[in-house]
Amino acid sequence: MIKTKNIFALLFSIAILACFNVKAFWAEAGTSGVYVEDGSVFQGQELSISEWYFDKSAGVALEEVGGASTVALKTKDAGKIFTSRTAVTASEEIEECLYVTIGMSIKSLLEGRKFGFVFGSPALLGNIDAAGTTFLWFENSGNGFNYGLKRFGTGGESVLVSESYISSDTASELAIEIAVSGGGRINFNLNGEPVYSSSKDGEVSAEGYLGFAQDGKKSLSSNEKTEIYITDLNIVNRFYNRPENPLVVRADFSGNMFNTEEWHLQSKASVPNGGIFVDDGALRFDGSGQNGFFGTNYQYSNFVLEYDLFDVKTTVTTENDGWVNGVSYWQGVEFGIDGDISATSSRNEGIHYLVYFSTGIDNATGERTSDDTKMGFIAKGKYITTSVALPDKYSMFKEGFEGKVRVRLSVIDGKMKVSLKLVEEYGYTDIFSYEFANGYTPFGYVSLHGEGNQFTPGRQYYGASYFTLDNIQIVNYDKKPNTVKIGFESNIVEPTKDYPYINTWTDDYLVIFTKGKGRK
Amino acid sequence: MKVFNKAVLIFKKAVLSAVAMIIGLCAVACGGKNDVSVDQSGNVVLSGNTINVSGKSPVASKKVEAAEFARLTVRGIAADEMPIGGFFPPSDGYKGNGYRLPSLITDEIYKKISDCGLNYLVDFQNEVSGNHFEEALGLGEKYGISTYFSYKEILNLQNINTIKIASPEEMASGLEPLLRYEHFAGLYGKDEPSANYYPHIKKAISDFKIAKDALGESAKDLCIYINLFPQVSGAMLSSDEAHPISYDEYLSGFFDCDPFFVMFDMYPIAGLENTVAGSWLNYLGKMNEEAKSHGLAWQGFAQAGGNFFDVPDQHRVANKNEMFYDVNTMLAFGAKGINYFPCCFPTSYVQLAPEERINDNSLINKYGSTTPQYYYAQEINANIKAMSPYLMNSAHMGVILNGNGVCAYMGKNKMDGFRQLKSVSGDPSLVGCFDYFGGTALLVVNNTLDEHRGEITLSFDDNYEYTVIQRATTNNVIAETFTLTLEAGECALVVIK
Repeated sequence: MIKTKNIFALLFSIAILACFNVKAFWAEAGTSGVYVEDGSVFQGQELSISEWYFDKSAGVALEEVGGASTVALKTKDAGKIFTSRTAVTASEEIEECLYVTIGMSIKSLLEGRKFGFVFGSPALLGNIDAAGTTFLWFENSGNGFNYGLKRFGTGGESVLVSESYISSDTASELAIEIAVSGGGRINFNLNGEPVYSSSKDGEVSAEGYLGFAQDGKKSLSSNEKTEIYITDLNIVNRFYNRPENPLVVRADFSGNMFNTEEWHLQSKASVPNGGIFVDDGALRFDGSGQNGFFGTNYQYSNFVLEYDLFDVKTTVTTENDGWVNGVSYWQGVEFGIDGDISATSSRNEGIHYLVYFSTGIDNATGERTSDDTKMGFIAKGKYITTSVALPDKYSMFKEGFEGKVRVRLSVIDGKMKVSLKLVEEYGYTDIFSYEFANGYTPFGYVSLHGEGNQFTPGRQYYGASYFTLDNIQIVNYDKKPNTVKIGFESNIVEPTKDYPYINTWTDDYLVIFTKGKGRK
Repeated sequence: MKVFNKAVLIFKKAVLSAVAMIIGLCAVACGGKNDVSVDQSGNVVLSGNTINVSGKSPVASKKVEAAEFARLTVRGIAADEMPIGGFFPPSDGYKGNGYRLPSLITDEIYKKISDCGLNYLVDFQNEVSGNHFEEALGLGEKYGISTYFSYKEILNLQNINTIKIASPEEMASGLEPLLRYEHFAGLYGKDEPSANYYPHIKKAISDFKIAKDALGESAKDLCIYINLFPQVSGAMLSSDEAHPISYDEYLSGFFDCDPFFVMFDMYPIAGLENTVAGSWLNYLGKMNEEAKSHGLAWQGFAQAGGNFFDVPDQHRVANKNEMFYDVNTMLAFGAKGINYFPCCFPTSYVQLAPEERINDNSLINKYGSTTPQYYYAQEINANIKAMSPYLMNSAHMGVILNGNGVCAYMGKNKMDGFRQLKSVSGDPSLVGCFDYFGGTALLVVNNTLDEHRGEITLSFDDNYEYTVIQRATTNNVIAETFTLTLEAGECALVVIK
């Protein structure tokens, strides 16, 4: 039966696929996404309770079977047995919003009970049949197992795949594949064969919690239990992130100030009195050190960042106190920064993304070791490149460089591009391009960094940042951008005046005390 | 002729005495005439600033042999004037959010510091070889503010790995050009050294003294500024987790360095409202005894604020009563100098402090504006200035505590009375007892903090005349018993004539 059904399903799927883009199963442009489960659940000594909800006493544990780690579900319990704490986000534009592969081995099922995989559940716990939940179920059929697929709604349940038989042999080695579109269509394959494919939107919903569940009531029998082994588990959720931000944000530092509603400045010193300052209508990294940055107050997914970079310190100097002040050698852009940027204490290319320009430097003397400026890119700790040589006319860290370079970093539809031009040039020259896997687009804050030693009293050599940035602009390139209007608050604070002190102590109650002659 | 002149002189004296006696008798009996008046409380005012409570003529108090004491000398400050300092000088280098703030090394700021009553600064920021040294030195000179400066070329004790101690000859050579500045007080040594610095401190002081001797009279009052830790952990005192030391060992090691004075930073305004650190008075008593036994004067830091941004949640922001209490209790235990921390807002606090708390720490904030603490200090300092000629020439003999004050004292030299003072009664008080040129001086402090205006009665064994200084004003009182009214933490000085 399954073979006949598979042929029919295959033909049907092909027909359906023919109506979609070839990349129907890949993320549409500009997505962000998250691995709900990347198979790491099988590593370690115990299951992670921070990522999955389960009850150990209910018979859920890691178990080695045949030399491989599995998630063993040996349970009499009813309800949500093993549920991911990460909820799925559905974005209607995304063709493959939820993609699940499950390797499963069914040893036994409790009589009269259905066990299986649920998604689209509105709550981490709660009833399996809560409205919105889709249930791929399996049950005993006597000499094998039956399975089916249904969705619970407010008016009852709708059957997508009616009861179908599989043998015990087949059930002992199941490969389940489920793909759900943002619009609510499902493609369901079993052991490589298509079983069901939606003909219209809205049949299911990926949004919500997912995991493994068993219906009915908890069995009181001491002997019988459901026994299932999850041998493979991979869950990817792709969604379109539309962070809220002002569509265009620009800092030209006119009036020697910037808008603190748009930008966040963290100034760090590498040299005494160093830091990042607005001077002469531009942003000057003036002896600033590591972890100093100028960043956005809002998060971005698809964006184009542009800024001028010039006036770089390209010679070593010796300061009054006798310490050596090296050349400026590094400038970077970090993006995809999660968390609260105002609480960010340091740059972290280990978990974010970093494009940077640099030149080689001798850490003992502060002298450059190269005349080149190179571009590098680090993606979540992985060095994608460190050695894209800039054309000489853009080599801003070269000795004697006097030009003003405009940098353009675009991250759109999963594609990143770094481009440069001199401000007087018309068009940009592309320096580097990179495509994120699966069309993924980083999501988070964007910040402009310098580099330098930490300021330590008594230090004899400093390698600090000395360069100027100006005309910093970032534009939101999301589809249907989620924009907000914001106000203006200057970074410059009105100084306080002398405290208006009023002395509340008087003398009139003092017994033995007169001021001057006689008592007033 | 000589005999005649002598007779005339005797006659003149007799007439004057008679007139004085008549006036005195009238003052007692009459009142309200000429230069005699009676105030609302019935006190008879004999002259501009003498109040005769008893209505009787005073007796002169007996003097004993003057007790010895150690002086605190700061170059440029008169011997009779108490050194009142500020730690954290005006500096250049304050930053706002992406902008530099104006330098505080200005005439206006130094005048503010002087107007507050400070007469010295500990300036470790405006290094002698730096860009602002001459400005700072010149302004200190202009406003009579003696300053210790950092001079790393001849003395650098900041980091154990980069110690620099010039030879005595090099020190003398470096110091000599600065001697023409009357208010160049000496070198900044170290703030809170751990004991592992002591060998270097000892050498530095030794070489410095040789340099001073070589430079002669104009250098005699120069010194190296060093202040100690308060009672922190033994590991912090030794800077060695494996070999912690006791506070007594820490002090002993310091005295072995032959220092110029003893100074420490303990900030007692901590914990719940209206409380102080329970060990405060005991600590003051101990430090006073330690200093005395080593022939040194001591001074302490005054808490000009609280919840300091580098050690948050440890100290309250001191209010007026608390600042008065902090300083006056140190004076009552024999401090010969006070130093406000911070004087100017520390540059290192700038990125830590939110704007709404910009007045919580320091006398002058980063904008160069005064804070509430500035005015508290100004009042405190005005009173200190009035009391200075007495306190700077007094030997601390002990303390009297009456009542259950905000802080108890279990240490040495605790007395019930002192010489002519038979007893103290009334609201809780701490009385510092001093020998003043063989006479008696008493610093009476209201030992409460909960805004408790106290009445403290002093009972003597006879009807004496007293110089009483309170709120920077000096009056004379004649009485056998009289009552002072003091705000919480406030003090008055009573000197028996």
